[in-house]
Amino acid sequence: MSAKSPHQNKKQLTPDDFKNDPRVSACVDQVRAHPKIVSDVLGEQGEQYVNLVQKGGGVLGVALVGYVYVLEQAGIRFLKLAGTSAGAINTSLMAIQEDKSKTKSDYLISALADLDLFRLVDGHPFARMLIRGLVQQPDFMKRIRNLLRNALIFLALILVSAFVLLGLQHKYPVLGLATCFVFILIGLYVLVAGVTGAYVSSLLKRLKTAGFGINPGDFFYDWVKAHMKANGIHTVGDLEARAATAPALKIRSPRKEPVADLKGDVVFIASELVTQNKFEFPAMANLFRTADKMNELQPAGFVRASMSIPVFFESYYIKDIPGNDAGVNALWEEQFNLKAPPDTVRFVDGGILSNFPVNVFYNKDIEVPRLPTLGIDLDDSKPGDKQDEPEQWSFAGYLGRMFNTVRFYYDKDFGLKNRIMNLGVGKVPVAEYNWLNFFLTNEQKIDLFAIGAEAARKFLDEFDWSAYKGDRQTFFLQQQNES
Amino acid sequence: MITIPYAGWCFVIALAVVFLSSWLMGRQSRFLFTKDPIRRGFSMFELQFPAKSFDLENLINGIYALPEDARRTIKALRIQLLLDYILFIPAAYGGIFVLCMHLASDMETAVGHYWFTGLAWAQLIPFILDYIENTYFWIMIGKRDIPVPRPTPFEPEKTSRSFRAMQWLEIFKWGLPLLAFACCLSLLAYLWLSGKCWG
Repeated sequence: MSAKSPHQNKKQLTPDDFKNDPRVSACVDQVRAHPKIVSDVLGEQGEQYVNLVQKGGGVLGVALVGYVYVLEQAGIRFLKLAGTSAGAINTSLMAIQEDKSKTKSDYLISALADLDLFRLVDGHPFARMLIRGLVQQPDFMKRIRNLLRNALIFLALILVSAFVLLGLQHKYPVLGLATCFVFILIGLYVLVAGVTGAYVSSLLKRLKTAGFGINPGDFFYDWVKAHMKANGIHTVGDLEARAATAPALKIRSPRKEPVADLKGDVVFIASELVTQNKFEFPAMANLFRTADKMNELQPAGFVRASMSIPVFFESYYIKDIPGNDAGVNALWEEQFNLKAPPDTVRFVDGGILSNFPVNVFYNKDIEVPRLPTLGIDLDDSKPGDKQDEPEQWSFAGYLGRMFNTVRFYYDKDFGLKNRIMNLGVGKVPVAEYNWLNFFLTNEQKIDLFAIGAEAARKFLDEFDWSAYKGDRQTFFLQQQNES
Repeated sequence: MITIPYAGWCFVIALAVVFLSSWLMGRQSRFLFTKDPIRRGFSMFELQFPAKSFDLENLINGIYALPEDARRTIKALRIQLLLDYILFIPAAYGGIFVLCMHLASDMETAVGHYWFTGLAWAQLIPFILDYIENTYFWIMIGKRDIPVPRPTPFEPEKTSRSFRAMQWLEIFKWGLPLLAFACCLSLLAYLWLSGKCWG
């Protein structure tokens, strides 16, 4: 990042600010100058179709947009889309647009340019201030500790002063006024401490009543809903129908397989806490409503469910599940071996179970794929993360690693057993950014976008479609032999 | 300078009324429920301290979104407001007024005298503001489906005027009596410890 940027003082970004960034332009020029074969499924204009999976990662999702932009500039289009959390947000904004042969990133960039990320943090003003401090100021906790220490020192000083003055005023009555003043100071101190304590206690109570979510996430829900509405998506059916569309496709010569079976799709991953399951939306919407009442569910809710970072956002609820409907019950039994669904379910971020759902489009029965599944992996691990001496971890570090081991293993396990799927995954190095920094400056947004663009260029440089197919075939045959 | 006869007793009685009315109002809190986004309890403080614009309106709409609880919740709120009107407000601000005036008369310096006299008369402000606030709540909780303009995703964030007015009202309503009470208690502690006992 340069120290001075032309974008630094601008209030409102425009799509051109992203696209005309020199680093982004260089990526676009390069991928256009060196066209790459990445798929055997082609559109009428020669565009190449792939499936795309986008990883979750809070505000790091800005880099996903840069990545998608460069892929599209390389003539790549997307048939099936999947994502979790931030990946689900991008996925939704791509899936709701008509005509898969057209680029989707222009709309994405426009939405990103218009969005004030800080508005996603729509909780209590105090919580917003606290989050801003924790995210933006590395020494924030140190400052809080210093403030508390100074407050205690001040209390000790005024108490000692009161004690000394009270004794001295018997000999020096002139000190009576000063003693009185110190006593009033103690009273005011107690008042401020009491009010602060009551305020913090009310905030904690509020957090409890809000289902332990700091931010309601209403702004985000309205934002996604507005985008869906602007694109003619009002119901779950609209979303499914739009996502399923496929343009006129053909197979690259000399292959002869049919392509009529290729359809679009969209998948958002959410974690559900009542039944403790992973849900894929909108496909699993029929677990919550009968067909005639499906319009009661809002498709924007699926994205909201997928991005409900625990504690940071309030959970997303789906209520009044028709447990008395035999069809719905049968689906629950088939899907999760549950006799009947609960009345209400509570979703949190899909990322706690599957932050990078590359498995959703994997079909083990295909020997040579017609199109690849590409994945965008937001890599925020710092070099030091894996070198730390385990004996020296702090308690928080220990808990963090334990949580991360559990949360990442679902995807990792799939990746380890199906290493072939990693061939289509490009890593975006975003370690220098905090995934919860919703206070990104314009300059930082553009930098993240450019990082994504550069990662896409690097991926395209290294990707070899022929090798990919060959490896997939070898893997398929190995699996066949083993089974 | 107003001299209040039996100031000590007046204050003790006011304090007793404050405790009694607080206890009675607290009992009504058990019946307060709203839907946000699921059924949950709330307290009178949430009405008084909305964190954001339209939180108050959302909370009231949430009450009516629970048909089985709405009637009892509104009744409990009205009882709380009535207790506040009749008992708590006069006793609380009246008690602080009595305490401040009495301490002002005991002060040996002009600064102290004027400070406590000023604090005593300043209680008129929160006294009036509290009645205004309660009347506002009384009207608001009677309304169903209050229109709440949700923040527009494509327009800058706005704060409603009523919300800002409410914030200022609360600052004065709570700030002045708490300041006076803290000053009075400190002075009482000083007088007690220095042997100039208040009586």
